Amino acid sequence: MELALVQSNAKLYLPEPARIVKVRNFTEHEKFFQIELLRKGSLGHDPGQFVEVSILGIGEAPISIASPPDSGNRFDLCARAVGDVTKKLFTFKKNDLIYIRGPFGHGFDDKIFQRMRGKHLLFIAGGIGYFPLRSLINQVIPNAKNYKKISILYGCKTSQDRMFPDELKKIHHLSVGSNVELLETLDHPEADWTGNVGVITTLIPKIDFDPAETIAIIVGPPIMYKFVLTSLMDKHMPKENIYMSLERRMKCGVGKCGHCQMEGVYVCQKGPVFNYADVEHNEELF
Amino acid sequence: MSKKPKVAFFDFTGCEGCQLCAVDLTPEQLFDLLALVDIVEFREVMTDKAESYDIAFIEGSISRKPDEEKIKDIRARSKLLVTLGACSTIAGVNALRNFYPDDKLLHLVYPGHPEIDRTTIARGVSEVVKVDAMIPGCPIDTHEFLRVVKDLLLGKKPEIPTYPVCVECKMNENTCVYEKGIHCLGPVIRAGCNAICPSNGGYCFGCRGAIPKANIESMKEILQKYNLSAADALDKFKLFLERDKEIFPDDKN
Amino acid sequence: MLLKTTKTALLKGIDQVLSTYQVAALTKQDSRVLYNYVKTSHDIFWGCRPTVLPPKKFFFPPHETLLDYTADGQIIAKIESKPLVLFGIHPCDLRGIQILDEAFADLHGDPNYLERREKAIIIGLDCHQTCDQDSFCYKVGAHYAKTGYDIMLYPLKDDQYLVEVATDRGNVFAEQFLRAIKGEEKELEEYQQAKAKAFESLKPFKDLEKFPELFQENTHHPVWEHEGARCLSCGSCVMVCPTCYCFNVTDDWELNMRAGKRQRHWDACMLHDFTTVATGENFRPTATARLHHRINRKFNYLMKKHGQSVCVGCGRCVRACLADISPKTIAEAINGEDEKEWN
Ligand SMILES: Cc1cc2nc3c(=O)[nH]c(=O)nc-3n(C[C@H](O)[C@H](O)[C@H](O)COP(=O)(O)OP(=O)(O)OC[C@H]3O[C@@H](n4cnc5c(N)ncnc54)[C@H](O)[C@@H]3O)c2cc1C
Ligand code: SF4
Ligand code: SF4
Ligand code: SF4
Ligand code: SF4
Ligand code: SF4
Ligand code: FES
Repeated sequence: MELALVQSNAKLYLPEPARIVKVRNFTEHEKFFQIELLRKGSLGHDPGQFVEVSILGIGEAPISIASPPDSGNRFDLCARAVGDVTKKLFTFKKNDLIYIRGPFGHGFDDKIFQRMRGKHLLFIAGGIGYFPLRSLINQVIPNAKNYKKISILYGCKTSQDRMFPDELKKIHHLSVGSNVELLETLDHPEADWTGNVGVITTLIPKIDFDPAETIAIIVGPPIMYKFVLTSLMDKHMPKENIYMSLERRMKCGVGKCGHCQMEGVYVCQKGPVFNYADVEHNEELF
Repeated sequence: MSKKPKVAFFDFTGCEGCQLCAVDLTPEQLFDLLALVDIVEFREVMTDKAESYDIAFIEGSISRKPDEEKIKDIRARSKLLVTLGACSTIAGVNALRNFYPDDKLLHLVYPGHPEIDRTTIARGVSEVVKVDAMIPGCPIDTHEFLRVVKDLLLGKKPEIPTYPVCVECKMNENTCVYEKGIHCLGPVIRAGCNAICPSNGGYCFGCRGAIPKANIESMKEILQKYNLSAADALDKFKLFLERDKEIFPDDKN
Repeated sequence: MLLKTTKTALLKGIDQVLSTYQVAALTKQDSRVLYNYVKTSHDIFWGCRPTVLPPKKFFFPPHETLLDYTADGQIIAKIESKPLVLFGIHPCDLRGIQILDEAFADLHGDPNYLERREKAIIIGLDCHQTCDQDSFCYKVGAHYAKTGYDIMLYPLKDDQYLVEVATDRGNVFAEQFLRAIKGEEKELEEYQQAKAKAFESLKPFKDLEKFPELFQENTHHPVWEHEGARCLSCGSCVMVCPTCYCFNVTDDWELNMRAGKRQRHWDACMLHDFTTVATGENFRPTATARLHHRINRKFNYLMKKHGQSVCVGCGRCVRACLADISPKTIAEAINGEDEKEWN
């Protein structure tokens, strides 16, 4: 393979300041942040890409961009508080400054959008897998006419773990008489839950799809992939019709530090969005 | 002023050297540190007493019955409890006594004084109460102490390396002491001391404790390959690693 | 361009260079031989002895600051670099530098590495025999430097050297600092013939060019478990490798909480927590899997990318490994060269 040798990029590790303009609590551990770059101009991302979020003196963490591309200088991030950076981010309020590098990685680019056109889109999200998927979901729903159908399957542990409940409600409303549908399931539902109960794969038989004409997009916790893929394989879904976002430990986000490399693949460069056919033999990714 | 976190130091069975290391600061460092925290209890340098603490640093191992009550009491009054040095983290050299039966030990140390209170085996603090962070080493590294203080104040997890001394030793470009026929525990011992012993003509004897998932079997084989008997190889671990269940599985008391 | 000079002229040249540039070369310190800055040409250790660390440390130091920042939000991307002459770099290490150049310039140009590298002039020194029994440069063809130097020195008899000037930078340098006469191509040919003879019995790995496929097919070869079981996960092999460049990044405030820095430090895929994430999950939890990863980076993943073996056979990891784990042993198991039963 030829190496694309490039000039030194003086700003590669230099983050730019951005302001938190909106904060919303989902749960005790998950929050939504709307971010505004201090400069004019948009972030310029594809759905599925991520940014490295810096908090000075604490560190950096890769976080998916949760809003669709647009021309403004705002974008959304959602974070689960698990460690140093994410817990500190949780204490941040409106008007606080964070620092951003990116967008990085390979998301849903034009090529993938061309493939999706006219097809049935099948989103399969588990838990906070909805964060990275939201950028794509919120991009395709207003353009639903471009697709044969849009099915969103969303599984969570309990009803408290449902992210963006108001947006989910809107999608449920929208689905009446349109080609958009949202099916939800809970592992441990409360008494008033009227939806499906069980793991996410129990939703798959409930939708009607022609595997050859369907593009599946999967994001969830690591163990979810295996089960979902098995279900889709049982339905004879072609592997190249399956996309998924895979997350690994990252430091640099730009293919240097080596942390995200699984076999020969740098997840921060080739991913996080992968086509299943490209990586099915990668034993470290699966 | 009183809004600053209250910090206290306590000592159990230990030499108090780690407490000295903790305050072995330049005047500027001390000034900066005192701008961040209030030191409310510190037997080494002051006599004030306080009721509750934001951070309690514990030096020394738990090796007598009354120690247990005292450490539980401190735990109950402290938001964060941090071990300071090898004795409190892994029982340190005190744990050497654990290799002897009680009566033999008393006879050895206090011959002719059967009235002396029995000690218990020497244990690390985490064997008795919950520990929030550890600063290992005999003695501690002052930089690491300051970093842990900063991390705790910033709400960061005060990480200590999970990789071994060899990493730092190689960064320092040392010739491995094994090449000179000296045995070193560096490959299985927690880094963070900047490989101070092998970098200064010595070898690592394990004062910072073993790394998680250390390959002790392979380490023993290597010691034997470098001309130690199986018993001598095991002896290498005795000085600091008695409490490590991977190395010395059975408790002696 | 080919020139010819003497050791005396080289030493003199270096002393002149020292008024404008920093010079780093092999030096002797206590019992150690290592690459270090020299004050005069007399500090140079004029022999071929393996060093603990390769010259990568000059371009990619074990610890370096990437950002300096203050509590009020001033952030400066920091690069410390100075013009440097690296003198007497052997073929294996020249290969190593070439591979790091490509790695750091790949897709996103790493400013810190590239700026230091840009400011360096590299003078190679050829080896006409192997340096010790742990080196295996000849197994991967790295006893010949193809590129990666501005000037290459070939040692002849009687402290004479042929000087191959390979770049414009090297040319400017030679003109300014080196008293030399024109060298004869014939002399270089003779030198190369003698070298080829010295290495005649030292054959390259069988099927070297097929290594990426061979390693891909042999993910479950018993040699991995056999060697991995002894691995201490100590990271020594990675620290000393001229073509390992993984790093960790940390942030820290000063004690006064007014200023802080972001630093990067050498890290190693052989260490247990290299792939551990915040939830505690570890994507490469066994020493065997980590050894497999490291060696596959050399002979498979990155070999595909760089079009040549990324292990340059310098033998540093072999010397460093107390458990006697060697990429050579593993490669010879994978390509069947050792004719050994591993099961
Ligand atoms: C492409 C990608 C997109 C992600 N998107 C989101 C998101 O939208 N929302 C969200 O809440 N989380 C997301 N994560 C996970 C998030 O990056 C980690 O939870 C976060 O890095 C933890 O950092 P910390 O400093 O809080 O934890 P610590 O435990 O202090 O982690 C220290 C460092 O280790 C690395 N690290 C630890 N865990 C992970 C991890 N799971 N993935 C990658 N690096 C890790 C990071 O460099 C981190 O700074 C994403 C991860 C990746 C790789
Ligand atoms: S001297 Fe000790 S710490 Fe250093 S490399 Fe050798 S074994 Fe490791
Ligand atoms: S080298 Fe070993 S013995 Fe010395 S301070 Fe470090 S951990 Fe302790
Ligand atoms: S490994 Fe080969 S190229 Fe490198 S110094 Fe030794 S003999 Fe020379
Ligand atoms: S030097 Fe040897 S023991 Fe240490 S990590 Fe490398 S292969 Fe394993
Ligand atoms: S893997 Fe070992 S022999 Fe190969 S280049 Fe690295 S240190 Fe040298
Ligand atoms: S995150 Fe550093 S290489 Fe991918």
